[in-house]
Amino acid sequence: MRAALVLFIMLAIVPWSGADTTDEPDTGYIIMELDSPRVFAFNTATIASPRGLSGQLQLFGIGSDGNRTLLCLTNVGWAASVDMLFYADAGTRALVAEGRTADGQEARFTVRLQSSYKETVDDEAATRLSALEFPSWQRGAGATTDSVAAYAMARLFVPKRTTAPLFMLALWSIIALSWPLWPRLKVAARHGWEVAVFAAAALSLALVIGMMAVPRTWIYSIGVPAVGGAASASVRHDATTTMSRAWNEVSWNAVGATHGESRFIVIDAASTAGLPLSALDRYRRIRFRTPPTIIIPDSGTAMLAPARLMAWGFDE
Amino acid sequence: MNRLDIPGQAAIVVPLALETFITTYMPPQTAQPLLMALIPLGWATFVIIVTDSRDIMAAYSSALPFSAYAVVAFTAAPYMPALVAAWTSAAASVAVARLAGGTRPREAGTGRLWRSATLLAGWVPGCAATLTAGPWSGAAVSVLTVLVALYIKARRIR
Repeated sequence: MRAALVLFIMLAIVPWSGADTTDEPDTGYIIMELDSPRVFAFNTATIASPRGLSGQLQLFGIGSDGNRTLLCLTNVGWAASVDMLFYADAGTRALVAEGRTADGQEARFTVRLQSSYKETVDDEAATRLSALEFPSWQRGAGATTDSVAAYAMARLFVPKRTTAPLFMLALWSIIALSWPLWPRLKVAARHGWEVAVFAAAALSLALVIGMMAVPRTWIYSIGVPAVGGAASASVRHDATTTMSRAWNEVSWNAVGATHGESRFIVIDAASTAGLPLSALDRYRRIRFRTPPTIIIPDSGTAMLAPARLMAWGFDE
Repeated sequence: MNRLDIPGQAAIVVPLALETFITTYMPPQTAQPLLMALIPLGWATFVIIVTDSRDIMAAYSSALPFSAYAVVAFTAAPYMPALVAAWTSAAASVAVARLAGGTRPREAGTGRLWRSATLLAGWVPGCAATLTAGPWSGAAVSVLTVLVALYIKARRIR
């Protein structure tokens, strides 16, 4: 057994009956093992079954209001156990694992988070994070700018449009409009060849435009000083842009912000394949406005599901 | 039955270009990928039927880059399955229309209604399979439709 609190309960032996957050009883042969989870951080739960697991596995968080939030989703061909990552929110009271055992039987298992979890909710970092307020999603004119976070949201964290595909489409529009003139210009010997050339050009350009228009994930962040909500004038406009293979990151610093202070973060990954979790490695604690869903694809690289997310984080 | 002229091409391209530019600068929203892939091709189909054009392949080709952009820019990844399903369905539409003589002028039994029906019929198998079994199944059914149409055509010629 691990040093920290380990919850290891076999449904077949000890059926869960004290789940006051879900009416659905546990079923099937499935077990969940987890170290004492830390609030405002990513944690791991191991789901296992003596009969093996197969198909889609889901991990839900049950909030104090009884609402279920999908925290992790993965697909397995066959496995004896699966590690599922999840973000622990201060309001999470229980975790529910749902899936199928290898023999096709539906399985559900609930674990209520214990007192050691509540201690992490009340530690210093978590208390400081809980006190930070999230601004509105609204951007542009009319948006409030009364705090650094609100100012950044309204004025700095503005997505850039990629215009190159639009120019390509404009060029294609001209080519397509000129196509009826091709016989006069004698582009090809026969009409069939003209159509073939035109179709090949369209297909090639469609693929090029498709590749150029693929949206990238952007992570915007701004360092905020510990004391006071500085005004817009105190934001240093020397943005640092880092472009990696899977995402772009732009960061600012408000005057007075030091390393290790809180950072306000917006992740814009709505139309992408998601964001690798490793992009957030620099934050030892991170508080999301709404708990994100983590997807673990076949490659095994944990990803935040495509979404727009707002968060406060503490640097390492 | 007509060749696709400049006004016909303009009827396809200009509304699609305008729609693309407008939606690009609207607030970001995520749409259904297959729907976004089919809207430009569906518009091209509509123009072919209205103008009674026989240049079906050219009309679909005109809409292809708009279809690619709409899927990639306005839907969540992965993009390829929806694009492949939509484009192979368009290819099936061309193949079935050609098989039924809808692309030849003054061919016997090719009234405007018949041509429109065959044009739309090509879309049906792929779209139905996509909706019921997913985009890759839809693409496979559309490819099969194209192959069967080509085979029947080849037998007829022989």
